[in-house]
Amino acid sequence: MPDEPITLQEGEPRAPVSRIRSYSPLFRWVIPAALAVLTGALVTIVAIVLAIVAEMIPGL
Amino acid sequence: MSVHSILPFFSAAITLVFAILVVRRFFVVKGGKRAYHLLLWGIGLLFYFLGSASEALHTAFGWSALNYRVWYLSGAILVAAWLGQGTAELLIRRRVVGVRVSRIMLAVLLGVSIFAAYRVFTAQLDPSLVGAELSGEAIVSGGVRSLTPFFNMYGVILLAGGALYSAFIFFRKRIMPNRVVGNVLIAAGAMMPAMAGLFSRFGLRGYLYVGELLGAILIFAGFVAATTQPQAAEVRQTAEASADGR
Repeated sequence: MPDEPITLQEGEPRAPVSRIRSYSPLFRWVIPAALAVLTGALVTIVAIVLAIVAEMIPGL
Repeated sequence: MSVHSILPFFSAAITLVFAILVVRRFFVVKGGKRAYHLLLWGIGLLFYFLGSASEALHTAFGWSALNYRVWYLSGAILVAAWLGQGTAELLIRRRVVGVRVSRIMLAVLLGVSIFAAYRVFTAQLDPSLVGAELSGEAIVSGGVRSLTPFFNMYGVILLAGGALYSAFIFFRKRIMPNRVVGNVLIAAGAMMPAMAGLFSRFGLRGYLYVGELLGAILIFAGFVAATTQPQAAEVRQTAEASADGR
């Protein structure tokens, strides 16, 4: 739940913001892996829920 | 009282504090504008609190039809959808015939939430079907439990999907690492109750209260991380970099 997450335009940010200056292991490996795993988990959850919904609808 | 049965007390305490912090933030007006997404998140967190508190009351005092209905409506149906609506208010800026799409979604959500409340509070219940951990099986009227997947899918796609999208945007731009981490935590937290709810639906009991507590902790931690101001040194360096045109 960020505040104003995508109000920054392409290019330079409008206000001083912190930057990821060096690629620590966190940002090199953990964050991309977490993003990939969580995206996969979200897709799986949605697929299961859709299957539940489909089962509820007669004729499907 | 087992360790498992006291988990809702912790979830209720965390979500109450969290809801108060978010609503307080809403009342701080920045640049003449109120951040309505905070109000919607506050409402969602209030439902989270009501759901957890109902579980705690069930643990402490046993079955109550009113308590069960409050639990099912707030904890099982509304919480994810209203938290997700907060994210929709934040991220969806598109307008259709002059009206923000997120406001149209809000109107629809409000309408179906009132319908869900009517269905839950008029449903027939069978308390003999409820165990130590609350589940939707006590609702014997048809067409009530079938509402839940729609609300939860709407909520988890918006809340978890929105957080993942925000995290990716900040990560790609290589800015605001606190918001990258915060949004990853929020996405993970948003999926915990959803997964626990699915386990419960498939008869795997005992995960719902754990999932809710983990979800509350992760979302709270993510919110704190995402809204914590960057350190002064980092801001200064970035400001200097911007001034240099780098």
